[in-house]
Amino acid sequence: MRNGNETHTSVVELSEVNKHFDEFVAVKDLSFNVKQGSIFGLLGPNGAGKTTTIRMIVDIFAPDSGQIRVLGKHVSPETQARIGYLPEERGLYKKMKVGDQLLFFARIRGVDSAEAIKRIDYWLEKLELSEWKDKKCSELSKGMQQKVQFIGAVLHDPDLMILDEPFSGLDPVSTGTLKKVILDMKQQGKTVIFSTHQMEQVEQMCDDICLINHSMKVLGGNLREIKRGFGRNTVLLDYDGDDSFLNTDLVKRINRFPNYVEILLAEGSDGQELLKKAVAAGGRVSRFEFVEPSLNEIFIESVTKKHE
Amino acid sequence: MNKILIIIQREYTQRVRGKAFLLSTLLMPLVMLVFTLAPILLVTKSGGERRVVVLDESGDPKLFDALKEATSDRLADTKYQLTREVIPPGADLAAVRKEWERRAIKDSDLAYLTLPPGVLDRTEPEYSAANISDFSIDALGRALSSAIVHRRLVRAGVEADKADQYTKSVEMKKNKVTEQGESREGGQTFMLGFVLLFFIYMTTLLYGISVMRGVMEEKQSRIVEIIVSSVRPFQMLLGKLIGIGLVGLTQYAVWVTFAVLLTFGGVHVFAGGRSINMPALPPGLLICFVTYFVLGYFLFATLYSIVGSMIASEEDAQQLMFPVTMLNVIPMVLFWTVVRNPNGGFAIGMSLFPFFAPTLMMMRIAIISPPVWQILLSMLLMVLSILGAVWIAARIYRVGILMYGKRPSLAELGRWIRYQ
Repeated sequence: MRNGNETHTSVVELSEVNKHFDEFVAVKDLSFNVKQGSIFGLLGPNGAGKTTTIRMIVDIFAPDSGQIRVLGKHVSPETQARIGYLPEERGLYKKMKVGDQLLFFARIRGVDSAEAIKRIDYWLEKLELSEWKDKKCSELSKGMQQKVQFIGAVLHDPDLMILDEPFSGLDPVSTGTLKKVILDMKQQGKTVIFSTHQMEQVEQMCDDICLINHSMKVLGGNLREIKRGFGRNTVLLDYDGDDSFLNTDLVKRINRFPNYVEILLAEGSDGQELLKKAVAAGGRVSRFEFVEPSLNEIFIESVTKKHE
Repeated sequence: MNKILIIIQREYTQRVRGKAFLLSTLLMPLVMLVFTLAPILLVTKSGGERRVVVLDESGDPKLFDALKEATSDRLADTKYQLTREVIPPGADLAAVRKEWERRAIKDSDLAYLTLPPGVLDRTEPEYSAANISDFSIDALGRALSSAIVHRRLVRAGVEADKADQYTKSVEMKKNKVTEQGESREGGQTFMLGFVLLFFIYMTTLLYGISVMRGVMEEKQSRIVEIIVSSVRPFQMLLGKLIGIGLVGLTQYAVWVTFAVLLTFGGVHVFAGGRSINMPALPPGLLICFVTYFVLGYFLFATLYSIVGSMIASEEDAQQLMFPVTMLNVIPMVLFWTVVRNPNGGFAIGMSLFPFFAPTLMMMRIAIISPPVWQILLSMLLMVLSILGAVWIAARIYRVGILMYGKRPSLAELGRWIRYQ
């Protein structure tokens, strides 16, 4: 497998894609490329058009206009078969046994039964679900069902994974296991489109992002470059004492975390002035650090700015 | 094509393996048996003893004896105990009747029979009791009638022994004329028709709702989104319809096999001491039975699949399935009218209507032999309706299954159908 980051082959290409339902515009003039071997974050608030975009990529909906190419080809049942799709809204047949259910998923995606059975055993083992193979899905915990659904999406060994909120309902151990599986796939040259509201996960895992809001792209490209573009206009402050001095024109917005406060400086204001105020307020400053904004901050900033 | 087969296989094996399948296969004939036997058993239950006070104003003392003689056997399983109260001419009959009326209200086994003066000529006898919906009363009426005729003959100078012969009642045999020639028959064809109608009604309803629940489950559990990313919605729909239809056919195969095995031995159904010969099932009838089930199933199941794909919550289900279920139930109300005049315009028209054809045409085929063109026309109309229904269902289904919010209005449904 080639390393996608060097060759920059596009696995998914959207150009000028539009989709509307009656008067409602779901996706407007959307373009982005997903490079082979990368993890691509498709972000946006609820109702922004992410799910519609994904449904067009997996050929559930056809766009009204614009082009979508997957693995270099127009979307079709053929490209569909090379995608592993884990929708946000997902479920299982409650009364079916785990093994039977996975076999069904594998077969409708074109894997023959003998091969599917081997892969099912491999994956159940890997995600520690082997002893649940003959249990009905209704007997599984929510987290276990999520893992079964994940297995269902990878059994046909897809080249492109589309994972919509893959970690919802998972405990930290399972989340860790699944993250490792996803990163392993990336290592094997597979491409992942990742949609989530968990910004820390995006920061940990994604190479590129596309942020959509109100059916339009508001931000896109390499995550590191985007952050750099925002500059070091953010201060992380760890302060013992009364921090009411933060109510000043120098500060545009603050996000409080248990051990520190993330401060977005107002445009043109000098961070040094803020430090002076902090010292003057008489408390103890144990951390005062200029950083790039968190993705969470960028997300809120982009979404609210566009809305104003 | 291969994907449809996989869907069919899943639907079929999941259901046939389930307990519900086994239960309904066994229970349906049982329910049917209860349904057909219940009326017979109810009639029989009217038996027991009935005390009848004969208020005799006839002036003919032998009339009561003749009546007693005629009712000495059980009449339709009811034993009649007759006592006589002679009302002398000029007595106040009204007051006497009032008194018996009072008693009969309290005692449902007590009845009084008024034989007015001149009952041998023209005036009518009257039977009064709290319960007059008892089939045995007709038998009592026939006994009384023959007793009166007997007395008239004697009065006209016929010897009593001869009069007995003259008044002996006659039973009429009924023969059904079919292609296979005449056959003796005693109301069984109606029963057979009713059984076939009932089976088709129950199974189209049962399997139609089964399809609706299946679509609903896939939508509510959100499993559709996973499946439609590899299978076309139309393939999903068709696979489900065919898969569940095959489950129904399997059940029919079991029933038909048993029915054929049973009727080979010329089975008697026993009900309260009466036995009814099960009529033989001609192959043509069985073919129609299975064909109407298949067509009826596809028509109703397709409509139910539309309902299933529109439903957003359990409460919607009851409301939205109502119109479809009505189409299924209406023939169960109409069939009496059809039975009474199975070759009338109403019967022909209703049995050609695609939604009523599986039940009503089936009924007509069982009790008379309608012209072949009518049968074929009803089947053709059904096939056309199915094609239309599938076309609409496919268009609504592909949109509906992915709409999780609220259920659509009629205008929205119209737009869904037009979506490209």
